[in-house]
Amino acid sequence: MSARWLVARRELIERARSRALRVATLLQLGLIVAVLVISALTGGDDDTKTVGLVGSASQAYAQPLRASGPALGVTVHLRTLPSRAAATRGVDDGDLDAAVVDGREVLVEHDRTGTLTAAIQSVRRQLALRGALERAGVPPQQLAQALSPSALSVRALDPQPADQDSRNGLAIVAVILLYIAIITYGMAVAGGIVEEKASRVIEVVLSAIRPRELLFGKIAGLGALALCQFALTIGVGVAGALVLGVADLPSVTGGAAALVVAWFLAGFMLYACLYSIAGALVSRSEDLQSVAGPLNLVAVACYLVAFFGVTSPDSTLTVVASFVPLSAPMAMPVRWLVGDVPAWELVVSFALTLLSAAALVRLSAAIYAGTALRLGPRLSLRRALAVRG
Amino acid sequence: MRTASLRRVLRCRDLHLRYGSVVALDGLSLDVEPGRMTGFVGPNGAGKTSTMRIVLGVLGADAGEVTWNDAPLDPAARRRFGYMPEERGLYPKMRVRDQLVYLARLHGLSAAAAQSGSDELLERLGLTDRARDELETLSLGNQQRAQLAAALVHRPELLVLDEPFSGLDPIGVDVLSGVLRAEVARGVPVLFSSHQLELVERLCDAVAIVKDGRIVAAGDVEELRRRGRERTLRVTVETGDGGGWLDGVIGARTVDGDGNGSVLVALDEHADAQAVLDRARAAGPVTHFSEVLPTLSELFREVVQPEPAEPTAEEAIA
Repeated sequence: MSARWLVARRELIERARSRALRVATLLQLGLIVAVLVISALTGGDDDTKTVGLVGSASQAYAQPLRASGPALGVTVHLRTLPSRAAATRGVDDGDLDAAVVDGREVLVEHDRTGTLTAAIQSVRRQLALRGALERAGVPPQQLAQALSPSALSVRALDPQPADQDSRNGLAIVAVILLYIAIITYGMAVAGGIVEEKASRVIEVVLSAIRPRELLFGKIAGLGALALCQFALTIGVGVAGALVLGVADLPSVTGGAAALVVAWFLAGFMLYACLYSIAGALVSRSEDLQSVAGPLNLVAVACYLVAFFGVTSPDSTLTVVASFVPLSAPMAMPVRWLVGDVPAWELVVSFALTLLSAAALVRLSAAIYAGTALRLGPRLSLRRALAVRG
Repeated sequence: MRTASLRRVLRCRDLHLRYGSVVALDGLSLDVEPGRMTGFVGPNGAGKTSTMRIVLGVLGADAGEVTWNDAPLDPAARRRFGYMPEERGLYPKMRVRDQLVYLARLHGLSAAAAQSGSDELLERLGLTDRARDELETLSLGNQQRAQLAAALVHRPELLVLDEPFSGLDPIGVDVLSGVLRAEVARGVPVLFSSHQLELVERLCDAVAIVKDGRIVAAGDVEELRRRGRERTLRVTVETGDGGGWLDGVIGARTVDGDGNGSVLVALDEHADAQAVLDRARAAGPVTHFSEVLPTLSELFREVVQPEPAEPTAEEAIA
């Protein structure tokens, strides 16, 4: 077995043994499940509206209200109530979304969106018009034609896929997961490097294998572990969404998941190299935060740009960010999931990220080899480069 | 010459190393031979750790050569060396046995060999019942044993230990001495550095004294203690009154006396120690008769100190 493989296996096994990792994994899965359950519960409410009708004057509203349901995107249920007091109670308790009293008054608990109220008002106008036309002696057939004309054909100039909401949701989940995984495991690489120096085990290990083997083994082992955790999270998320029927999962789900995983690997490689340079510069855990701080900031900035890219996938900022190697692993999956991105853009962006990761791998290995045995105060990047070789 | 080339000998030749403007090694040459325990002594900063790191390949020399069995050292050969660095440390959260198996495998052992080697060594060092515990939960003494195990677990062909005795209690010293003797008996060349010169004198067959990045004295310990010195005897005659009784013994002279019958006698190459004894017995009852050799500490001070300090009585005779 090669030294790299041995190192990778140790990283994988020892990390997986740690309580912190298990707790973090469970928390993450719990969070995903909680989000799914909550959206399943709240999502269900919006599908039906119940309207109470008080008095015979209100009965005329029944049929037109039911007919207006599809336009509102809901099913309208109607219930006849004996008195205004009963209607008030029903609205107050949340049993009713609205009540029409004697055809003269509308009761609602609050009127945030106003869509249901507007629908009722529109029914009122329709009824008034019908009464006026009947009184004017318009024949019933003509009346029916006038009141329910054939629907206008609608042509959307900027059509959005029916599953747009689901795609946006997926993009948000994907970018959050990518960010968490990249920054967590990037820091794990830096922390592992520093830990070996702080515990002084580094010299024992380096008397058996070369620094390059240790570094690559560490990145590979942590990457494999991160991949397992990432895949597990996505798997639970997709399975949960299907079981709970939360999102109309777009037909692209399988491919989208594979794409996000591929981007995770590319992003992890890139950031792992940068974090390993941060780890190479210090030999005490206390010093790591100050060195890794700027890098964390860069990661957060890239994350925010990608996150807001969900709502503006075609803005210049998002497009540029989807090609810059540091932000591409988060911004490009967002653009791909939310909007329509030509395949060549995806390929070019992915290649750019991989190329920069490959260049950084060499640089970080050189810096690490030169600094692995240096203990003491933090080194500047310039000095670290000077001692390499 | 043919047989010599088959012996497992480590040779450092003319090693040079600089850290910026500081010269760490200045043409250091050193041999470590099999079947012998070699002590590596010298003041702090003389270049012991740098030399050992270069041998183990964790540090590169600016110039010079290290050979093993008369061939330049390569990573494959180094992988079969055992090393205990001055800065001790293993993975704090890793279980002791897992740790040893891992290190043995990094040194090229198969999984089965690494496991049996680890178990055997844990047994030998009395750590078997702690094998599944995380290293950081062990007592300091047991952690030191684990560190020793890490250097030995792959049955190295050469052992290099940087200050292995520092911080050990007397029992730890005995355990380590026993283990090192066993390794030497197995034919493994052992090189260790130490500031505890009495210990080096007691344990080592050979010693190398380093100063300012060069070896200033090296070789068999006994030989070094005798080399370039007159033989000196300490003789105590109960009724003696100084060294008057010595008059007329060829090649012998009194160099020091305490007035109570104890004298130091320097002998040249013609002198006969037995003649001195005969003359002493004639003068009165002899209660002490011994050859005086400088201790390693004295030798060390002689070769290491640039200006000899106020000479002590025994050093003055040299």
